[in-house]
Amino acid sequence: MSLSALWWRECDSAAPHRGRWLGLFRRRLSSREGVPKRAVLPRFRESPAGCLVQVVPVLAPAATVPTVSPSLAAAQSLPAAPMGASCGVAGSVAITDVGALGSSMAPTVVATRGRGVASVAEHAQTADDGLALWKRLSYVLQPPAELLLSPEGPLDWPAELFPFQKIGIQALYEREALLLADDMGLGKTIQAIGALRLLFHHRKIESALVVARVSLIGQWQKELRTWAPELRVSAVRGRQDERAWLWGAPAHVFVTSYETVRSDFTANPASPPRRRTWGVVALDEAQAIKNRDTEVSRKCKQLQRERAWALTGTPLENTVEELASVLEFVRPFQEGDAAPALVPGPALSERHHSVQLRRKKADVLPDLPPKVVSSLTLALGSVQRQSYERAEREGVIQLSEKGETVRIEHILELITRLKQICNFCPSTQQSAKLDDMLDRLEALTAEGHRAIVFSQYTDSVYGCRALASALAAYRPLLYTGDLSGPRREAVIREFKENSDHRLLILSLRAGGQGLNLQKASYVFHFDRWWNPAVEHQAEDRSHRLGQMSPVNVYKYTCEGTIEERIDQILRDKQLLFDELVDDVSMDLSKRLTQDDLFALFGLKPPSAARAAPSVWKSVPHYAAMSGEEFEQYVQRLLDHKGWRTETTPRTRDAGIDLIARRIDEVGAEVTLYIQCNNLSSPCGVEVVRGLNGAMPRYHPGARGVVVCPSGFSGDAVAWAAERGILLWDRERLRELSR
Amino acid sequence: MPLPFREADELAELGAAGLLTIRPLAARGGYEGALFVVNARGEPLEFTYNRVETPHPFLWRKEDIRRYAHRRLTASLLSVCPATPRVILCLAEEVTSELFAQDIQVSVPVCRIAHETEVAAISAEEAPEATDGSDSVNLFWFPRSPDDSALERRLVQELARRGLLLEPFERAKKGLDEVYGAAAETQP
Repeated sequence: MSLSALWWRECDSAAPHRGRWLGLFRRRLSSREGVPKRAVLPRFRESPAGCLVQVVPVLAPAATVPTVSPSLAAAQSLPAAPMGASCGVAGSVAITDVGALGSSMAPTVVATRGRGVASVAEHAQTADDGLALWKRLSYVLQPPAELLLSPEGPLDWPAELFPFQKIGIQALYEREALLLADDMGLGKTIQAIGALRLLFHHRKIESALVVARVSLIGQWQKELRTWAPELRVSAVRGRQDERAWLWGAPAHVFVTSYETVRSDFTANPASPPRRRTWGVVALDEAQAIKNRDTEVSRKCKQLQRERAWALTGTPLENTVEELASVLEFVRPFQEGDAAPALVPGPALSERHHSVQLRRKKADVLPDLPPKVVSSLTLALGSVQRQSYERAEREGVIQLSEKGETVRIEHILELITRLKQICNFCPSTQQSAKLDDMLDRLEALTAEGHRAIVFSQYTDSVYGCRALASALAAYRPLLYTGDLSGPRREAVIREFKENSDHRLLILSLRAGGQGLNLQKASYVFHFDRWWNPAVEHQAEDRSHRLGQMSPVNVYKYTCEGTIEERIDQILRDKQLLFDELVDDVSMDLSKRLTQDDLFALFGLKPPSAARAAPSVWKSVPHYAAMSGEEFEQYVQRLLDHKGWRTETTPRTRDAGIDLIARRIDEVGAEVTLYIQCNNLSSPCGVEVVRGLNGAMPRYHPGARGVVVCPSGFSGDAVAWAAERGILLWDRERLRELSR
Repeated sequence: MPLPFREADELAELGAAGLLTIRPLAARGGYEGALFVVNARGEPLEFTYNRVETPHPFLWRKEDIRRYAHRRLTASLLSVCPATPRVILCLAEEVTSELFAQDIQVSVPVCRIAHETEVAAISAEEAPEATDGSDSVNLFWFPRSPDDSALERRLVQELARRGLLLEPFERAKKGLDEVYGAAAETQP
């Protein structure tokens, strides 16, 4: 007896409608019936063993339905077969959860390792347009996105989504390219995860890559576990051998860092990030690719992707070129596609309009507690004031003495020095800011509040560590960039769970992005940043969804100092940000220029700095250069880019020809150890090895660079990628010369 | 707002509902239909479809043709459904009560659904009741209304809570559009 006969049968199937008597004649009803068949579609879920399993689609061959017989038991074991082999007018598609329907319905289950749904497509019928029937059915039979997002819908969500978040998810779901530029704290991560969940459920994608700052990988994992628990996540980080395994792990979503993409995306087409076409590539804090000349920016844009999402609250931090660089990523990309560079102008504006979704907190979260920003201008104490004035006086004299050789770099160095003295007097550790903060902390902690403090310096004289020791009474926790990823996560967890820690001190660069710190309702900017967008982003670690109390932000500025002058620039830049990002205007008149920077000290930029040397406006003839001339050429390029360069003695250079230094925006020194090779053939791995051996060990911020216009051998590229050594070929030199 | 969570096992225990949809063929005589099996979350589990053409209805009453075609179509759909759904749901406007009361006998409850504003004919064997929730509908149970604790009722309640009593029928129709839109061209 067939299974189906157990639970259903036709009643009196012999006669009633088979024929109708017309007088002496029996008129039969003629009918034409289709032939049933069956198919099973994959469904991702976790097996008890934790490996990814999926249900193989089975398109069962037609079982002829007898016209009369009640033994319609076609459900005898029907072997899997392509639907194309039995194209009747009837069929069945199963997308089944085995347990729900009993063992008799158990479809074929196979374990796969990272192969994706496409691996089963070969079993399915393919329509004329190349898309298998089971796949098309799996699209149309899924609950609609609106229903999936509903708290009453088929998917369980850990919290109710705000309407604007649903709109964001819908936008991400529906569009191939989106710049999600919501204000910080509106849940861009959750929106991205929600959209990923929908796309996986609808089988529109088979894999996704999320690239985030290394400190945020853990948070992405946690949010993915919370908001899309059925998705398998592989966090790609660690040693190279670990990463190689993690890239191949059976997962739906791969979360990794920009640094890992930079390392693991190599010239080899089989390198893990580039050997597949990702259904989605999402760049978190996408301003990380704002500089199109950086290696990581170029590599992110070369990731093959069907959908490109850029998530950032600050798509524009400084210039329109940065926005253009981010927008260059926001498009699908396949190997061989042309990737035109966007240039400021109407086309960029139009592109920006078409791909950006940006909502402001004030518009979508009127119920969020207010953020009260107080700018506190303090007078320096007498000793601190003397230290400051002496340093500024001496600095300006030194700048003046440099004459035409003065560079923006020198200006930045002086600014950094003066800002540090505004924090703490170098001789007495006196600090007007600290005194004020102590008063405020005493009051607010007595009321049970907690605070976070940002500084851009991490050291024990002017920065976070100095603050930590001065504020030890409040049991501060320290979160800086030199902490390991797990240690950082532990610090954040400790602050959230242990209210004995009244204070969290963060370096702005390490802690200014991505963290959720709603436990604190007071934010102090101990020193000022170049960029209002960065400051806002830091403040919004606290002022975000889940914050129940008003957030008070205090920004310290010392009276009559460089900080006060910078404050004016910050206001100008805020105008720029508002106009470009919110109103998408292209008025660049308020852009920060080098004139602004020199004017901070009443100086004018040297004429040499205004005009680019003509030497690199044309393509140089490298073959005609001697080794020394080539070295000088590279040095001039770097000088022009604001690096301080020095040549090494010829006889004792140990393979290093140039040393280039630059202080970045947060005062950290970056050093390049450069070897110049003007070879006629590609540079081999032995040269790269030689440089690696010559570089000083344990030098934070140091990178090795091998320059060779003729390019590099495959071995050299692979070897350099493993050790983080930069390789500059003709193309890279051309980019540098722009 | 606390959200009603349910254990996955609990939802799996509720089993699956088979949604039967049947519609007349527009261009030629006959009917096409699908048995769309969904779980308690509304996720699609199985989609079975077929078509019965009645090209020469001469001298046959329309109602007889409909009843005959519905019977044949349903039988063919059930014939390839290899496991028993917990309950069969169908729309009262599409499926009359005699299909399961007289023509086809099933061992699981059948629930015909009608929108609250819709006038539907019911038979004496059916037990009517109304639902609350996002889908305000009238249910006509055959052969009788399940107990409150019965899995069949809990499954229907779960679907109703999620607004999934009527919506999956729309998906099933889209599935039919997809299948026959593609299959029509391949027919000889």
